[in-house]
Amino acid sequence: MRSVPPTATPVVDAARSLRFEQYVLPHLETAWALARWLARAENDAEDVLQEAMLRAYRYYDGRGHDNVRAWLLAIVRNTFYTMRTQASAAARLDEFDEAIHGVGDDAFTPESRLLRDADTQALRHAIEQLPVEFREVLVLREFEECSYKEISEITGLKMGTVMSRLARARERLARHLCADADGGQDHAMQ
Amino acid sequence: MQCSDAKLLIHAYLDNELDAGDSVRLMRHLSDCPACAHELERQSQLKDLLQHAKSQHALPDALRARVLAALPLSGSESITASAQPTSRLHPSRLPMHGWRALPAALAASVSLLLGGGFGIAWQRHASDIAALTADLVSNHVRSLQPQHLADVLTSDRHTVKPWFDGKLDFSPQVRDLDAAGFVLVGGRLDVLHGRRVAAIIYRRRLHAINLFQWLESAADSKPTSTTQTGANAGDGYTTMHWTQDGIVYWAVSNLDRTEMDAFASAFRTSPALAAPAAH
Repeated sequence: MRSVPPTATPVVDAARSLRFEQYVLPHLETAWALARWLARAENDAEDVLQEAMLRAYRYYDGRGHDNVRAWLLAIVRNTFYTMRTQASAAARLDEFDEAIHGVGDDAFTPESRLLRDADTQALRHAIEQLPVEFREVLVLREFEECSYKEISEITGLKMGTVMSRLARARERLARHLCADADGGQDHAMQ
Repeated sequence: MQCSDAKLLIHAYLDNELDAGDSVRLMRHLSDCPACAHELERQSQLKDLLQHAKSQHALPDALRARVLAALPLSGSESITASAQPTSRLHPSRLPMHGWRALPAALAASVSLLLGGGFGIAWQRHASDIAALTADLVSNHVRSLQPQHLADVLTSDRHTVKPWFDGKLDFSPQVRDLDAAGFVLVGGRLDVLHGRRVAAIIYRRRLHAINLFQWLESAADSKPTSTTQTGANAGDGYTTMHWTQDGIVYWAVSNLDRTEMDAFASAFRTSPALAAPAAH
């Protein structure tokens, strides 16, 4: 839906630019957080953010508050995937190793205390170990506080898929944390 | 409900995304199934834990500066006020850091704006002026939609002015500019940055002019009798602003600068209908 009537001249570039500053730039922190969680390495995240903001500027249609945040997050995400594909020669050990981390499906163990005690460092590490398709929905939901609907818009996934990915991401995360806390192992793969 | 369904719905429940019916069904299942109840507790703890990891990645200042520098905006520490067509420059055609050598004209036009002596505190900052200009243009554009231009549609200023009584914290200026070729169309109550402002609409040929008015801020120490203008022209829209007798005026239209000058001049020099608004 456009706010500009068809009879009016398009809003001037300058006005568009000002609106970009007013409506898009306030979400820079948010964009950075997503870039950081997706790309993991700080250098890569910086590249993603830089490129994403250039794209955002190029494609900005003058939208206001409505969904500019989700729109920007979608650009960050797409930029990440594009750059990741381009850089795929540097093979990434993105796969979460179930054989090492999996502790079976038996969730009914007295691990709650361990989970509670896991420090944030371990937690961040565990999140970074998640395969990106799980990591992104988790980060969008928990850190960017997106609704399922927004996540669906940003990722292009169906709502049901968003929910099941989120469930699986958290299950993996919980298991991973408990495994780490349990054995004190560090399965860093980077 | 199967455990497999419950384990999925637990997440939607914790995310406040589960509708009432499913919530009831889930609760019923949890009361019968310790394993799933435990899973809910575990996931709830995980969610709490995640909140601690949330703010781990603050945006470094240096990176923020780099990102802004790469955009064809005026940048954060620089000015953002003017409608100079910097944004026409395509990012890919710009040297990544060289664009900051902004034309002196830009700086000059900003000092014109800043030196303009207009009042409201939030106008003093260039970025706020930028935001204000953008919002005014956007309000103007919105007003051009069918049925949006005027709340009170009349060329009789004696009708327009009283219409605002009780709707604003001041009495807007409605002047007869027929002689100068600007026809009064009507008035509209508009909202700008959360405050109510008056929009008086004039027409020149087929071009609408929105003249926004609001009371100059009492916090401002500048003399209110000064009359200053600032202007900036973008591709198609011209804004002009000045302060007179305690009222801040912003005119927006797609007339060119010359005609807008004529408009502002005609308005400022024509007699007020009533006594100037109390400051």
